[in-house]
Amino acid sequence: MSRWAELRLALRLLWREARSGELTLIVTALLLAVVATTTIAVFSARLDAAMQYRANDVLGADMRVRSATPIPPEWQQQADALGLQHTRTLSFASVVLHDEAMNLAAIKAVDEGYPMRGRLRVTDRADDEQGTLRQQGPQSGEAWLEPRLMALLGVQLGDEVEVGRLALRIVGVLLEESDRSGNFYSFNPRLMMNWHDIAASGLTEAGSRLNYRLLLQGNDTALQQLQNSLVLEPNQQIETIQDSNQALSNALEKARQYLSLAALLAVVLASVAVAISAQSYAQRHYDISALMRTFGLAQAQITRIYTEQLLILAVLAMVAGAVLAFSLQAALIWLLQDVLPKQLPHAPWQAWLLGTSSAGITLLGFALPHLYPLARVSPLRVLRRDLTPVPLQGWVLSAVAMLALTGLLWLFTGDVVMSVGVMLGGALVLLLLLTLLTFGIGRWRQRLQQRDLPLTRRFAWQRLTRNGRQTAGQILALALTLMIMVVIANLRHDLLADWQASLPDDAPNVFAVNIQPYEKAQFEQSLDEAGWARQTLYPVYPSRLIAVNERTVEEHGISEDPAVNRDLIITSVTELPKGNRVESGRWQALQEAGQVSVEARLAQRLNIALGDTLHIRSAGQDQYVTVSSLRSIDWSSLSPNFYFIFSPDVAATLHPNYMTSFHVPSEQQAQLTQLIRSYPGVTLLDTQAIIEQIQGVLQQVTLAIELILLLVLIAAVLVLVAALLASLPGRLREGAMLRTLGAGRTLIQQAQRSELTLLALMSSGLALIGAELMMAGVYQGVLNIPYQPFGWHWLVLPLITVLLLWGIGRVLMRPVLTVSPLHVLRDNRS
Amino acid sequence: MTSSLLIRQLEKTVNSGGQPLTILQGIDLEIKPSDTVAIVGASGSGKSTLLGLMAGLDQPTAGEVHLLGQRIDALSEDERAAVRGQGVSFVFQNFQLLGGLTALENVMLPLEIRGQAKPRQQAQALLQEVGLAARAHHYPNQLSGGEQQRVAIARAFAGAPKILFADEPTGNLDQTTGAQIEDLLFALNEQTGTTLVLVTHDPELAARCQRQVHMTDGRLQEVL
Repeated sequence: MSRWAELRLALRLLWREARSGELTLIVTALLLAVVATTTIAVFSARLDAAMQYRANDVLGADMRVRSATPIPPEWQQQADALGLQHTRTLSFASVVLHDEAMNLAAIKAVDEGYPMRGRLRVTDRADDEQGTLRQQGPQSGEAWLEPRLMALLGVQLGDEVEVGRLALRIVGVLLEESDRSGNFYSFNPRLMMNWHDIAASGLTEAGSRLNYRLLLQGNDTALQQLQNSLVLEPNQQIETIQDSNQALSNALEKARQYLSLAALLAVVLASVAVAISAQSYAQRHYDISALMRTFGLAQAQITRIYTEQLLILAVLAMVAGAVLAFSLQAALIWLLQDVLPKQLPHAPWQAWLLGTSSAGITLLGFALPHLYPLARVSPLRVLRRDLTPVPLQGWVLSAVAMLALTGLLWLFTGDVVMSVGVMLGGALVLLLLLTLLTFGIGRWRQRLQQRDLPLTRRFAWQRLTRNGRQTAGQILALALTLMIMVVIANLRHDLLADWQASLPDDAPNVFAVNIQPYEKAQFEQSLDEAGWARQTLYPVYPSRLIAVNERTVEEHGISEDPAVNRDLIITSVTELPKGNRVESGRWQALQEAGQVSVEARLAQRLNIALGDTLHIRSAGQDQYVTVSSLRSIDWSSLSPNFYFIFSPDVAATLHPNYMTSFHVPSEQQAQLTQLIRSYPGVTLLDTQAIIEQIQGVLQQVTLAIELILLLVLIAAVLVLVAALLASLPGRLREGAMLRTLGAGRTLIQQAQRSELTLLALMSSGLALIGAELMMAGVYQGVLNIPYQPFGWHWLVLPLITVLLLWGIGRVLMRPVLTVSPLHVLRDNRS
Repeated sequence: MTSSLLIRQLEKTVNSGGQPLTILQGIDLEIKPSDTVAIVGASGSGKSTLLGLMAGLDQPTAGEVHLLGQRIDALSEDERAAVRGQGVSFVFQNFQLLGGLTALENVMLPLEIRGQAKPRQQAQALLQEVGLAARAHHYPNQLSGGEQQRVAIARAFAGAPKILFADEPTGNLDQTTGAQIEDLLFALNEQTGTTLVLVTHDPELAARCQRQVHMTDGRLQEVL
């Protein structure tokens, strides 16, 4: 028989078996693995490409200097002297008004020469979604708004908006701004205006939280020379491509990691389903193999036929999986559209190959080892059915499977150490859980053996405990999936809602910052006249931590901590603020000179202890203060909270501005608009809007993760289906025996249901315990919110799981009830 | 004319619980082309072991087996498979049809494996011959036991084998169906001139063969 004829035979046999349904399960599991990996691989690749693409334009310059204070004119002169092109921008958050409508916007004022690099796409027609690339920013008196801001304010092209004391006419819709930095402010929609209108707006009076940027372009040597010659204040920073957009890419990276982990979980489960179905496929094909040997096929030919069939299956799964994955990643991108860059480039072909290669790897690692004995079936089996080939040893099967998964993980992460670590760690944890469960099931079996149980329940637990390890595996797979789904669903639906519900009705919903000393008393009076519950007006001093005990933060290795690498807001009060509790040291010590009180967790993180001397630079002045108390803070209170509190003598040498928070009832929004008009220099942050925005983002991200989790759930169900199908011949035999002994269908059905109910209860119980632990950890460890244990989940989840398993069981195990016992017993004779 | 099958001083010993156990010893047998031979004997007398050795499915401990003019006792399993591929076929007690293939496809399979021309037409003709043309596209589990065995017989005669080994071909069937299968087997044997070697403990079936040999305790005795 020629190789070509062999391949044709392999194809024909495969086609015939596929048609008879023999391959459905293995193909479904394979398909699922491919869909999960390809979706994530392609999604990640597109995200990467977008990031890369953006990174080039994202600075809008070759180099940038950021400063909280105006850029010194000497720097521009220096840049001129070095032959560098330069321009300035200023960005800050401020409220934008139109009639009664108002919204917090990310304002950006741009000077001549902007944009320097990158793209600025603007349209001046409402029906134009493409716009044109512009070489300069808006003219004086004009503004460009992002479509989202226009919608929020209910304005159209040609309308006027108020920015501080200034009215600007909307002449353009901002469609793309490639150097838009991805920090928190970017969640606020953009308003772009002309640099020369800043002064008239009155928004930049001293103390405002401002981001000045000097954008530079030119040759590397000149840029390097300038960089070396600049003497930077702590609030000033050189920005290069590497550190731009860090925040957003970090957040997306996190989301991507979660998605990848979920996808990997789906692949692992699908692989287990492939392994189980391959094993029972092999067992069902021992006779066929033996028969083909009697027809004259050599061992090597049989090996080739099965391998070719696997390869064909892999290719089919790759193609079909890629098609499905295409839709699914599009769905992911659609779900995450508000969080993702607007234009995502296509994924390179490598991503498709990487994703679809999971089919091959899964088959190699999980199916092939089980099919290995097929070629070794003795032809004598046609006469003696007890001649079963020896399968590969358990440890070989596990090792091959682990190797395949590690390879897959490595392909995905490109990090071999992490891949091996995760695999070994994961395997260890799973093995531990599996052993514990198997042991528990064994103990249970012993205990129940001594009891007189009704027949149906006895059958059920006997079935479950007969192969304790397999049962443990099924329970674990199902429990793990259910647990993750419960946790994610709860985080999404309850987390922020719970937190908001836990706040009192008059909890502050507006933060006011940048209140200047001269307007402090008047501002306080305005709030009180309006009758709005408010906090104290806290003086604040933007500062930076320079050193601890005369060793710099760099030497301490804490310079990258988010509390250290940017300006801190420090206050000075004599009364312990509400929601603060002294954990150690003395609060009264702040009455003495040169003292500071530090938030306890930050102190722990930065390795700061009582009695340490901190070197803090505030507005250019160096302060040396001693840590005299550590405080814990209720961060969820929505009051101004401070990491550091100076003793009054330190504050006396500094010029403060003030901040506070207050509650505006929803029906008094108009009065708030009035307040904004009266104090254009004060920045008001509507926390309600911010919470809703964060909630929205969280919803999208969790929805995306849930979509992938759906694949995980399908994979877990597949494991169950594979296990049930593999046990079907045994069940058929047992059912036939029982029926010949006079058992009715009802009895058998009840026994089946009892078994599945036990399985469902154990899985969902385990899942709920795990979820409770995880949620308690998240609430108390991460979010500092008192944890409420689940209530109705304990009823609903087990019920849903029971019904799900009953449904699956009813379909799969129908033959046990319907096939005639004679048929079954005759088939199994000999 | 060479024999279809020639066995000289055949011996089979297996290891049973650490002790050598002799299943067959000193067996001599010669079967001419177109002969019909029944091997009869009690359960456990070694009939099936002998059948396996004759068909080259297993290797003897000692002695010679010549199948279709080739000595096969010293050949490797793959070499013996090649000999089987040249004209040996089987009918089994439990039919051994492939559940995933239709009746027609089951009959086609050996033809396809042996690379014969027009397997579909040949298989269809054979099914017609065994009276199952109407059920060609049924799966084995949709057929009765007798029908399944008829498919198996059609498959066994596919590709005009020179020798057919049958292991209790009516063992799983009721008497009437068994008798029909017997008729079919002998009718096709007559038509094609295939050598027929069958193992049975059914005296009636054995009586229809030209020769009967009796197995007792691993030894063979011609029944005259």
